[in-house]
Amino acid sequence: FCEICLTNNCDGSAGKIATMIALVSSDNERFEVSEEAASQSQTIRNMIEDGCADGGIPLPNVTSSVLAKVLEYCNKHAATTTPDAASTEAVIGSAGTRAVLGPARHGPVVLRAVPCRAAGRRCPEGCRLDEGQDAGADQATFKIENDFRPEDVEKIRKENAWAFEE
Amino acid sequence: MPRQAAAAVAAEAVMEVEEVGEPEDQEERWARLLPELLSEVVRRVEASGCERWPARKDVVSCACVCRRWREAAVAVVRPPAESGKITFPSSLKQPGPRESPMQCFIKRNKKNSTFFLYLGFTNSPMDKGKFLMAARRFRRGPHTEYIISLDAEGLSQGSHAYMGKLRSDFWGTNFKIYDSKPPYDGAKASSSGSSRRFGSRRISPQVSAGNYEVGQISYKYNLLKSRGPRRMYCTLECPSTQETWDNALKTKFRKPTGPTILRNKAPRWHEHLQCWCLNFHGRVTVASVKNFQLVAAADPSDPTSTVDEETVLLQFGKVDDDIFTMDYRQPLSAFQAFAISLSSFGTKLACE
Repeated sequence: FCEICLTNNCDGSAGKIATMIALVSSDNERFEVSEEAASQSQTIRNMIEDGCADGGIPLPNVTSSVLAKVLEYCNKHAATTTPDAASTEAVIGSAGTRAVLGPARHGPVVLRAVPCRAAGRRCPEGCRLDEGQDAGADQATFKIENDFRPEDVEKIRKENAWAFEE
Repeated sequence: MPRQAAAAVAAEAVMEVEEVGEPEDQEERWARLLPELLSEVVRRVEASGCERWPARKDVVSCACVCRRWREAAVAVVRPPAESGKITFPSSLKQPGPRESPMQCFIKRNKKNSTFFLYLGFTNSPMDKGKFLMAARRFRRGPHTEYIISLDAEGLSQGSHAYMGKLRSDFWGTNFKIYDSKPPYDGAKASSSGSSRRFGSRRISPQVSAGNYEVGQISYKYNLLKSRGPRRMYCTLECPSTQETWDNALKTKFRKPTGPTILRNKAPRWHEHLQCWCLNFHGRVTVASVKNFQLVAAADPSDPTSTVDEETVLLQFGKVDDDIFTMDYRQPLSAFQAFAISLSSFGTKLACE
């Protein structure tokens, strides 16, 4: 097991010191992952490139148990260039929570279930690993494409923002 | 959290009407929902506690997911004149309810010359409310303008959230209300300020820079000169209440409705109380020269016209230092009611 790239089949090409990025779950647990693994999410990649990742990247909508499973997925696929686009993995977390990871345009989408009332019951709630707008979160939850015309997107975003204004 | 609750309600609605499939197929089904099912989902979201704000934001969320969801949501939701409810920002320029007024309140920030309009959650204006619109006062040479916006932060004509403005003459006795959008199809824009820049922001080319005159308000001294409340006259181009609505957002073709004329209801002089009194039905509790009630007035140019001169269409008045109630009903829209109420702050016409 290679401590640097966090895989079992390290080929030594990561002999250079890999940069570690800290991801902080909603319950304040820090996860150190390689930059390569974390960069599978476009949002995190942008933050790294813009130099915003120094203090650790907070992920307020992901708990530590879910994040651990997600990072397992990321680490597995960091070594390959293109993750299998069709694959969807279901991962069972602890305490009856269930994380379903699916591919998305910009890195894995975490479909997170709140603790289910009965084991095996589907609760299609979700959040992205990267932050989306409110409409985006609903789209991620239900896997619906945003098909608004470009000229309408801004107006609709404003409408949604107004509805949520305190 | 409420949005996740709405998602859960919607999910349950779908599960009830559809057979539960394999977990991997479940999410795919959302993208292929039949329009009737979508409408049913939105109807259930609305019925399950989303009739009132703040929960009502979940209904708006449904309309912002994709085109098919939006079509379902705006078909299920009825405009304020039918439902008595404000849902979308476009509800603010639609006529208010017919039977009983929409109860709102305005909070004033004297330091910043800003005003915030809220829809009351409860009858009491001291409780919180749903934010509707904001306005800020600017001096523009000889005029004073109140810029009205959907965005409490972005109060400029260049902003996407710009709704319109109220503009007063130098003496604060005559005001004009301008709408950022045409009040009916084919309306002509006025020439007021269409190419202005506000602050350092250039007006985005996508944002309509036109302004359409939709009302005039004038204040006059009472005939008894300073010993009586001032008189108000309003002439408004109101949004139509007659047309059938395609959905909550639009009608087929908007025709002009012609001028609606309002005047303020004359208070009664109470000799024993030595004051002018208007019955505000408990909604106004502090005496102020700004308080008023507007009723329909007969059109002076049409001697045969008859109007209901008793029903109060707009009532505005003080309840605390910087809090005022504003209750309106059709044919007025929230936007017009707000603009008229702002003129009460703007007029310099005081009296004893």
